[in-house]
Amino acid sequence: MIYYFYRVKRMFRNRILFFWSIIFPMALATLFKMAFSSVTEKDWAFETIPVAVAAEEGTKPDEMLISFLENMKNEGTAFFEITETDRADAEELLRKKSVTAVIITGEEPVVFFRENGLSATIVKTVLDGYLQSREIIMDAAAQGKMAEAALALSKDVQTLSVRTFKGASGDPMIQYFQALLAMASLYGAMYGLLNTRELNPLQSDEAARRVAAPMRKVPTVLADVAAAFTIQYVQFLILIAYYTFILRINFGAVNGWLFLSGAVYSLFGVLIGYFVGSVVRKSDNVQQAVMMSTVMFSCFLAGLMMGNIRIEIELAAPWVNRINPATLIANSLHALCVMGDMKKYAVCMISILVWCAVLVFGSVSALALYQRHDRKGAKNE
Amino acid sequence: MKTVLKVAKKALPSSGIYFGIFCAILVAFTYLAGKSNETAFSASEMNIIIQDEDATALSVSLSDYLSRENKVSAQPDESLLSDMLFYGKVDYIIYVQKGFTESFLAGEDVHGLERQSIQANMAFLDQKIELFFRYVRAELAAGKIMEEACDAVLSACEKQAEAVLTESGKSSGLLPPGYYFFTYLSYILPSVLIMVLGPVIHAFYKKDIKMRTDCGFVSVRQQNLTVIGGISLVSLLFWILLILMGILLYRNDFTPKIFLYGVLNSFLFLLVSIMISALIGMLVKGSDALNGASNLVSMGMAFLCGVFVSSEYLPDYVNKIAEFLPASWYMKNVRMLFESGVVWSTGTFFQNGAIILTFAAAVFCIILVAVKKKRMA
Repeated sequence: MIYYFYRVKRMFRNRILFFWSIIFPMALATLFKMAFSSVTEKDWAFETIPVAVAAEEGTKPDEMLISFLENMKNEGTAFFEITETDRADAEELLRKKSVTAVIITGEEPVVFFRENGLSATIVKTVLDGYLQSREIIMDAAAQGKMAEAALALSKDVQTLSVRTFKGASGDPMIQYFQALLAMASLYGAMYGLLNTRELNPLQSDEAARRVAAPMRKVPTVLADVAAAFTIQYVQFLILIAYYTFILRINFGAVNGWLFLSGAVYSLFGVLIGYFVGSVVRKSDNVQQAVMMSTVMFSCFLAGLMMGNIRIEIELAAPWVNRINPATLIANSLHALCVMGDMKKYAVCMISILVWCAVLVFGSVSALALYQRHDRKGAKNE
Repeated sequence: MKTVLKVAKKALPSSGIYFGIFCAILVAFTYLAGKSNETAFSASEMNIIIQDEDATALSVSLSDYLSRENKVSAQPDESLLSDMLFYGKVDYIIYVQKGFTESFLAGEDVHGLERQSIQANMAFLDQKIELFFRYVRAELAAGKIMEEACDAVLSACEKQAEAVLTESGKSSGLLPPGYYFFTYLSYILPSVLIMVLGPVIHAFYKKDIKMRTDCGFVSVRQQNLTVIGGISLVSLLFWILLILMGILLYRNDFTPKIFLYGVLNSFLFLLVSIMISALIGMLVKGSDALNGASNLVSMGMAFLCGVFVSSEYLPDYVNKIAEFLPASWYMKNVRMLFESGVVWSTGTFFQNGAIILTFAAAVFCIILVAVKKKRMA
C-alpha cells in the first residue's frame, strides 16, 4: 500500500507527462467547442427563407401562387417571407443577397437563385408542388371531376407522423468529444509505458535500483498498475468535469455507468502502454513512436479528425469498429450517453475487457519470452 | 550539417513509424473525405431511407416520387438506422408499416407512416410527402383506382418549375481526392515534422551538448544556421516523399497547372512547418511533451483553419482567429485551386503565399530570440 502511495506521488511529480496528458485533451476540447458551437445551428435550424415574387412584364401577379407560398408553414413558422415587387427590384434583392430566390410569375413560373443549397432546394420543391397541384386539378377538370379533386386536395388529413429520435442528444458534434475522451483514455498508455521503462534495468537506472530492491516483483507490478490507473482515472474525472461544467457540452445522459466505464477505459489505456513496453524492446523513442502512432491511428478511425468515419467504417468494414480500441470507447460512450442503448454499451464494454485480458496475457507472455531469451543468452556467454 | 544528418539518421526508426502512420492517415483521409462528401447534407439531394413493410402500389410510388430528386435506399439492418441518422449518413427515414395503405384508404385517422429526422430544416420533406398523399387522394376522388391514381400522380410530378442559377455560387459538385490530399497535408506536415525534428533539435540544444559545442570554434550563428539547414534538408526529404505519394495516388486529379501551384503552396507551408517544428522542439522538453505539443498545434490549427470542418461552417470569430495561423492562408489557396465556386487569381495566390512566408519569417525570428534567451540562461 505504501509502495502504491509513493508510486502515485512519483507519477504526479512527473509534471511534463501529467501536464500534457491532461492539458492537451482539455485544450483540444476547447478548440472543438469553439469550432463546432455553431455548426449544427447553422446547418440544421429551420429558418424562414426570404423570397421575392415578381410578375413577368405585361402579366398580373399570380395571387394564387403567392397565397400558396404564404400558407406553407412548419409548426406555425412560415417557410417563406414573401416580398412582392417588380422584376428589376427582385433581381437587385437577389444580387444583394437580401433574398434567397426570385420567382417570376407568368404562364409558367421561373425561379432564380444565386447559389445552390438547401434553401434553394426548398423553394424549388415548393414551387414544383404548386405546379403539380395545378396539373392534377387540370387533369381532373378534363375528366369532369374538378370539384371532387379540388375538395380532396384541400382536405387537411395528417398522414405522416413523427417518430422521435431516441438519443439523448441529436447533436452529431458530440462524436468529436467522444473520440477526444477515447484519446485521453488511451493516453493512459503513456503511464503504462513509463512503468515498463522503470521496471526494465536495460532502460533506466531507476529500474536497475528497483529490481535490486528486496521486494517481490508481482506486488511491485500490481502497485505500479494501480498507481498508473489512479492517475489516469483522476484525469478522466477532471476531463468529464471540464466538459460538463466549464465547456457546458451536452454529453447526453451522464450517470454512474459513465464513471464505471471511465475506470475501465483508464485501465485499458494503461494496459496498452504495458503491452507496447513489453513487446517492443527498442529505444524509448521507438517505443514512444509505436505507442503514439497506434493511439493516433486508432483515434483517427474513431472519428477524432473526421466526423462520421465511424458509420462509414460500420457500413464498409464493421469488424474494424469491433476491435479498434478508440472506437470501442467512443461507441460505448455513444451507446450509454447518447442513445441509451445498454445492450450495445454492454457489448462494447465486454470487448474492452476482452482487450484488457489479451493485453495482460500478451504483456506477460512477451516478458516471459524475453526473460527466457535473456537467460539463454547469459548461459551461452 | 553532417552531424545533424547523423542525429536524424539515429532518429530514423521512430521517424519512419510516424511518417508511415501519418501517410496511412493521409490516404485514409483522402479516400474517406471523398466518400463522405457524396452524402453531405448541404447538397440539394437528401439521403432518405424508406423501410417499407407495406410494399403496396402506394408505398412503392412514394418511394419513386421521392427518388426523383433524392437518394432513396433501404437499410436491411434496422439497428443501424439511429446511428446513421446521428452521424448524418442519412437525413430522413420513413417507416411504412404493414396496413398503411388500408388505413390511408379508410380515411380520416391514417396511421402506419412515420418519419424520423434530427434536422429541423427537413420539414420541407414532410410537406412534400403530405402533398403526394393529397395528390393521390385527389386522383382517387376523381374516380381512379389506387394503381392508376399513383401512376397519374407520378406523371403529374414530372411537371417542374424552371430554375436558373444567376451566378456560380457554392459548388455542389464533388471535389477530387487530390483536393483532400493537399488539404490534409496541412495537418500531416506539421504533425510529422514536429515528431521527426523534435528529437534532433533536443539533441543539439541539450544543455551539456550545447555547452560543449559552444566551446568549439564554430560561431553560434553558424551553429544555428547549420542546425536549421540540416533539419530543413530532412524536412525536404519527407516533403518530397509525400508529394511523390500524391503524384502516385492522385495524378489523374490534377492538371499540370493545379499540381504545380499546389506543390508550390505546400512548399511554402513546409517552410512555416519547419520553423514551427524547430520552435516547438526548442521550447518543449521530453518526448511526451513533444507528442502533446505536436497534436495540439497540428490538430488545433487544422480545426481552426477549416481543414477538418469547412470554414464556412465555423463561427465568424473562429475564422477571424484562424487568420493569425498560417494554415488558414494555405487553405485559401487550396480552395482557390480546386473549388469551382472560388475565382482563381494568380495575384491572390501569391499574396496568400507571401503571408505564409511572413509567418515563417516571424517564427524564425522567435526562434532566434528563444536561442538567445536559452544561451543567456
